Amino acid sequence: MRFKILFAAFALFAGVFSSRVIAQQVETDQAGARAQPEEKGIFQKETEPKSNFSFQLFYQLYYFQDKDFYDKFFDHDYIAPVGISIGGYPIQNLGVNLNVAYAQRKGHSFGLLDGDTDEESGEEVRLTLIPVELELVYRFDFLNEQALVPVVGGGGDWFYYKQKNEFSDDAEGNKSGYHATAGLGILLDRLDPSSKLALKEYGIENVFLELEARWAWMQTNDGFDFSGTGYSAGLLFEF
Amino acid sequence: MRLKTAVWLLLVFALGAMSSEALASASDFELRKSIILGSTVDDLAVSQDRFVISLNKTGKQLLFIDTWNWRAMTGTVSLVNTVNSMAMNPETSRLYFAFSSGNIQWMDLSPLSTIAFNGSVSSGTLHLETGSTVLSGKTLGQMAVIQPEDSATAGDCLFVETGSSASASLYWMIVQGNTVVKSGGSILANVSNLELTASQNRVFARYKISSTNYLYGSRCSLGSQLVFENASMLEDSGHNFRGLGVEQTGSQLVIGDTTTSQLLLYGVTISGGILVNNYLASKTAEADQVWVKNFASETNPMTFFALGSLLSVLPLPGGDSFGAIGPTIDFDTAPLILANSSTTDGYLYVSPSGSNTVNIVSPNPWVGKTFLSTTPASPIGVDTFTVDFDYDISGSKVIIANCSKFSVKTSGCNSISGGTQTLDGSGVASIELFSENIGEGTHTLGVFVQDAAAPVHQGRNAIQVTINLPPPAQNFSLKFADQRIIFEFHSPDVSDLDEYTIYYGTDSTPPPSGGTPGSPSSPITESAEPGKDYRIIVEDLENGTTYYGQIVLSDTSGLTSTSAVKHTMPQPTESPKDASGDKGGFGCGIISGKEDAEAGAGRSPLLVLIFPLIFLLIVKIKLRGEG
Repeated sequence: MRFKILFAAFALFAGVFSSRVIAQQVETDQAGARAQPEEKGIFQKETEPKSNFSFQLFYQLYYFQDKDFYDKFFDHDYIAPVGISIGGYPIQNLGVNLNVAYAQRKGHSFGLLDGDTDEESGEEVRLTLIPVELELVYRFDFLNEQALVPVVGGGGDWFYYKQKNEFSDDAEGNKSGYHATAGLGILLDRLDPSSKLALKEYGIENVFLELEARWAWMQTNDGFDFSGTGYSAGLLFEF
Repeated sequence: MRLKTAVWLLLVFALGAMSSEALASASDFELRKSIILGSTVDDLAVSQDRFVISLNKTGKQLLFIDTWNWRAMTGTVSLVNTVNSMAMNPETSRLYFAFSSGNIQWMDLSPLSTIAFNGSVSSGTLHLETGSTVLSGKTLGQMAVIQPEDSATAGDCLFVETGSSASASLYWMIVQGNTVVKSGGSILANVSNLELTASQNRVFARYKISSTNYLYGSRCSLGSQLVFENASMLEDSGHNFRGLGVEQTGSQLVIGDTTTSQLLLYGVTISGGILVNNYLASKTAEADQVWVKNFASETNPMTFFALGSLLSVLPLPGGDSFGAIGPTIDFDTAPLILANSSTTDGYLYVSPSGSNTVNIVSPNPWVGKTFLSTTPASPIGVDTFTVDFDYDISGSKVIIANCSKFSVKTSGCNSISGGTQTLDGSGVASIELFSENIGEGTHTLGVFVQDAAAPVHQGRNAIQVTINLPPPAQNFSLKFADQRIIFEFHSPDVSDLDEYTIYYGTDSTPPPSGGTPGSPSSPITESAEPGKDYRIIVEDLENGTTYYGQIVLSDTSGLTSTSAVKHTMPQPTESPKDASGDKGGFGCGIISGKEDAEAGAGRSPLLVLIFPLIFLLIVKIKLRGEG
């Protein structure tokens, strides 16, 4: 039920913005010329066309909710995925992102004799995680060359995992869930305008330092619980 | 009141007595040792304190003494052609040769520093550079080398005598690298009785024109490629002078006046050029050879003067007067050839003309023959051993230090045993050392003795020992797994490590400690590499049984070390998936909620939302592309 409400909200949002895009496109066509970006004042309202795509490299510290469990077996209650995010902007400021990351952590199994599981064994175990996320994000980017851009979003998660055991059978599978994200984009173009001109030659409109927090709720019904909170930093390129 | 005054007087007297005892003096200089070379010594030079280089003109070769352990080195370096004289540069890194052909050639001595302790030399060790032919055809005599005043280490200024004693000339050249960057015409021409002496960057010449005696002084500049010169007239023609020595900084000159049987001390000033115009003092002493040398262990420069084969020493207190003449050493034949090490090292090397002996004269306490008293196992194992040495010392402390390379100071070495033993008199001293404090390998142990004088006198010698220690006991961790035990260790970083042997079993006393071998395959022996991580897994063991483990390391010489015994118990283990109850497996459920996943539903509301947006994006791009 709640997904239906969510769907309706996004549909309304998409409808409003898409009609605006189409209207602007018609005006441009009538003028007989392709819309060209113009130099705007800093506080001047930003207009279409804007970036179509985005690409991000990020590094994350992802803290598991069940931290005692991971701390026991892997000596840390977090993993550190590195990943890429590929996205597009169907509507101004509204992005669709596909994120893929990779993380691995080595640990040990524990002895079971007499029910005593406190002694670490010599058997090595290795947990590999490949989180895949499909998400919608909205970037509050309304001004020309806006230095700080708040970002919010949410989406679905699909985690591939594999636990490799040194002496016993491995286990692999997937878990799914969803997440919410909030962050801040810091426009780096303003720090070095000359590099912006150079990047434009390659079609890069903007470069942001993205700082984000994300909260993920994953399946917990059978086995691993990968729910947790991640903090990431990345470089976002808008084309 | 009177008592207080008396105490003060006593204190002052005691301090005075102590200080006078501690002060070094000319009487400190003694003949310490004579080293016999394989051929006649015609000239001497010292390179970087360690090597005494002897020129043998007849054999056209160089012979060497290694002062690291005071021995004549085997091997010679051939000079191919006849050499008339040689001179060392002030850095003691380059030796210049005046060949009879009139060529000037030189030899860089830095390869000598690579010679190992007890090593030898050969003609391949050093080589002559092409040098200069600007004086080709002239008869070359004595040479003197100084450093340019404006660039101390970048080049050498060379002064060369040509002609004969009755009619000599003096030429100069500036050498930078292997290039003569500048050479001048004769500074002096048609002079007689020319004698040269050089300080760090001043050269002086004493000579006669007709019957008048002159002194000439010169400096040089690399930048302007010039020599700055000045000459002054000495006493009247009635005097005969022999011997000329200059102090290291070039500020005092000592000249022998054979007419008055006096040594004359002159001060040198710089005013436009060099002026030897400041007569300071005289001392009644007959001499035909004079040298002035500085020693870090002496508070004053020392004048050495020879009359025939007799060498005497005379301090220059304050640099402006003569002190009391010290002991005289008779070397039997004259004239004397003399060279010295650095002021820090403090050794004079003296050879009587025509002999093949190099005599060591020094104020330093002497450390003679150095040897291992009882012949230990060779190489030395885990053991104490005793370094013995002959000594002739007054109130000196002994420091044994491990020196990876030649050093005249203990600061260049790692002290092993130092400062606690004091020697007085002469005899044979014994210092006991423990091989494990020194470590595996071949070591050169410096034996340093330092007296109580201020400044301190230091004597030195060295001995080489080879120590072969067993590898250190292997530290390891013994871990369990399901029906397994795991040995983890990092092998020690010893170069002669050969193999490891792992013992394990249920006996709490493994075989190295007298127990029985374990099963299924104890012991396990494999070759070992130094400084490497090892992880050895023993399988097919019984869960719930305690197993004991021990590691024995062996080196290539068969020495072994045995580790401590550790134990563990193989047992079933629980991995993260076991603890969480995870069974693995793949399901759809992408972008679906927990409930959807649990229900196995394929519905994906978020995809329903996102796919229209993706479609919208494609349309947008297409429209732009067409536009």
